Amino acid sequence: MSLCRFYPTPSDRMAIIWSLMPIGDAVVLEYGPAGTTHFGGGLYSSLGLELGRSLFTTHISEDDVIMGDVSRLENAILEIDEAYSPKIIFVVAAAVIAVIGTDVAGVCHYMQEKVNARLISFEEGGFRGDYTAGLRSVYRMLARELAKPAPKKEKTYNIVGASAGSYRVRSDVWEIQNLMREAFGYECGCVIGLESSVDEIENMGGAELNLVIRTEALEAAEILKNNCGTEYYYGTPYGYSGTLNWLTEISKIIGKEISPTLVKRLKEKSMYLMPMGGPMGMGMMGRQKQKASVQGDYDTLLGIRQALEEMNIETENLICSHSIKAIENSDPQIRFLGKEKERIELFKSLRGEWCLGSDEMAMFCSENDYFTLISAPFNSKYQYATHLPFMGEKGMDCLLELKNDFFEKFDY
Amino acid sequence: MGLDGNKMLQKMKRLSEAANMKQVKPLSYALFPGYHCPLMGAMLTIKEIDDSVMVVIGPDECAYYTQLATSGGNMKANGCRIVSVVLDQHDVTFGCQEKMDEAFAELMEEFSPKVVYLVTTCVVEVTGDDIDSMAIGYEAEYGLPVIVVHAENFKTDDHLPGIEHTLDGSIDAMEEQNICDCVNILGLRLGDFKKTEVYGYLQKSGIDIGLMLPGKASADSIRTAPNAKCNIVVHSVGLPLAKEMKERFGTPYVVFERYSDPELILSCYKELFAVLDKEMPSELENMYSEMAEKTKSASEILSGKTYISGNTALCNYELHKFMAEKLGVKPLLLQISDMDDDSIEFRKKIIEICDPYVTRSANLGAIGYMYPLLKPDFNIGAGNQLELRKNKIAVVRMMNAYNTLGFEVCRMVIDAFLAANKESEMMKNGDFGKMPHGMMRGGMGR
Repeated sequence: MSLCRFYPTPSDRMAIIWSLMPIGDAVVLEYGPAGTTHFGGGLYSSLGLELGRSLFTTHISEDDVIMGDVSRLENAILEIDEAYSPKIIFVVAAAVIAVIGTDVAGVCHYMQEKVNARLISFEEGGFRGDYTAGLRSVYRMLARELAKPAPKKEKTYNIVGASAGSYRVRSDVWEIQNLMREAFGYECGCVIGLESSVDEIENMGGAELNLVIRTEALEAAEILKNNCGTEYYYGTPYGYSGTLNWLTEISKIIGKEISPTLVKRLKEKSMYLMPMGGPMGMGMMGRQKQKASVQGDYDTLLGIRQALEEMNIETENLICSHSIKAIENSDPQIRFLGKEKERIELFKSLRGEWCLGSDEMAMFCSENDYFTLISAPFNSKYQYATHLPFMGEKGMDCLLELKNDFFEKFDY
Repeated sequence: MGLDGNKMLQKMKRLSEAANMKQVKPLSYALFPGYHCPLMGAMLTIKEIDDSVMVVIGPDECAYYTQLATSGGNMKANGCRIVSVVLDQHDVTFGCQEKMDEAFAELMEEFSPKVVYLVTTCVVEVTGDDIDSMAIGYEAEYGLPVIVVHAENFKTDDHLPGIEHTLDGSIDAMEEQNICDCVNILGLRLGDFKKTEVYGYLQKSGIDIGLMLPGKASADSIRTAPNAKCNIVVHSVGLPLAKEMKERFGTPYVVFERYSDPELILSCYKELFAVLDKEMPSELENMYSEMAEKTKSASEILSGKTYISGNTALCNYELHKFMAEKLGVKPLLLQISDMDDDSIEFRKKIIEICDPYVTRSANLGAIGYMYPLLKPDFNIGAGNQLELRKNKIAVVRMMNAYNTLGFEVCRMVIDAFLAANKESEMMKNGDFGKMPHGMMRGGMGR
């Protein structure tokens, strides 16, 4: 099973680039063939990333590959520093550069004294794991290298572990920010993994709390706890009860009560889903549990399962889009099918289910399924909205509407 | 904040000072968006070949982007199945033969192609896996043509070698045929040959079209391509295949690129009909006279104007020679990606007349810094639209260029420059309100 018929799992390098590009006052410089950057532009713009002056390439020639000539890299660093005065230049090695073993970190080291911008290199080249390895690497670097201890600023928090590669991530972040504002009157300082400035990241140590929304960001959260004394909470708000539980856990850490209005609303909506709780719940009585199969990132799977449980839908398959080797005590229901053919066979075998997943899943689940796009790759959809989350109260509102469509399709 | 245009200009060479692409400097060291890579060129060509499978051999990034580019929109692969063999650390260290063997068996079982293209990328070209030998093995084992397209990006500044290598590799999928009254069209990168003037005259003379590569082709149309009476090379990317076919199958060829100069177009027509052993339609002589007259009249209006050019869909150096020599419109700066031997005579003539600056193409961020310094009247090809407008530089629009060949190219070029000249005058007079809708939009890319 060596043939890849559709999208391979994105590499660490790809995630490094899509996570560094949104950082304001910084520039990503790819040291490698220009074709990769040009081609990659298509992906990055589809993820909603601004390309202008955030990404450059040196291009390379045979001189770089055979003779180890690094003058293109040196000159590009000097030029970017002079022309755009960024605070940081992230130098990211391409796959071919990683293979030939050019000492990119070494070049950055001796070039540092010649430029004002800080130089930070990434030498992974796409061979050190899938995109979750890249996310880990970026979150860890930002926490260790940029964030500084700062006087605590009341009623502020950071979101740690967003990823532009996640479908509707900006909407989910928007929903988290709404929930925190309504529940506690807290404001978001910076979002690690999406648009944040260097200054915001440097000052993130002043927040009261870090909200970790991806398992890959846990190491960064620990670093921030040790270096800046910031407590963190790891989890995502999915479903009405799930959202309330999430807020309750945060409430315990920060020692603040959740807004009673919000609690009441979430409880009412949650009750509405219970058997005898209302028309929606009543409708479920006596019915056989319907099934769903979900494909997505690890934390998306955990969250969507929570939401499905609240809707009395059984999750038959939870297929992780990335390797789960690095996740300690991973959920036993979540599987990573590394072989594409196994995934295709599984998706083809589903019947009468609610399939929530990526373009890949959409391609193979049959007309006898009901499909909802929730994860990458999502080339078939452009995301205009930043207010249509899957997380939180509004996310659950949306999922409920989709569930009704699913039930209608099959007359359940 | 920004680049120093004056510094960039000081470093830039004139066309006469550059003997090869190595001597042509980019405007800046940090590029954006940068050049397309040969993998893209190979993809654009192979995706149109029915009954074929394209296998991208490289890191997941190359495979991912190829899928992304062809999974929808106008780049969607039609009769071709695009798959990949993704190399990991193990393959890089120990070689990818085992993975390739397994993948090839899988693709043969699932897709039953008639031809397979193995497209390499930078990493596999550096690690030195012998993909050519693997292809020979698969041909013997599975009994079908397996063509290797070497598509590493570090030897080139654009995607054209990917097209060229796909074409010349395809000769191994061809078989000796009986000759019939048809021609092959080699090198038509984009567009529809059936919409061109040349196609119309071939039809009138009873000549059919055989293989079009790039174009909508199939494994069978490639196999039977040597049945053509001649190959028409419409872009230099088709020339190596044409030469190879002449040597292997005796198929003559005529180079008939998208030339602008009526004299050159007429001589191409003459050569083509001579090779086809057909009488040249008499109206072509009339068209020549008409275009010669049109050129003369246009030069009276345009002479003395200047432009900056990126790559275009036309024969670039021939276009610049025609503009400078016949219309008196001089290029100030050319953004180029090749200096091939076939265009050397055109370049010599350009140097005699005006000797423009040359720089590498596909650097849209940096090119904007040249506009206020060189102050051209027009821009051709890709440009920085915002800066063009700011500097009152009119865009030369030849939107239908990909569907033209013959005297219609000359007509299109002259009309586009005359329209741009009107736009230029309006912009310089501040008459933005009189400009037709869409006039400020982009021109013609490559």
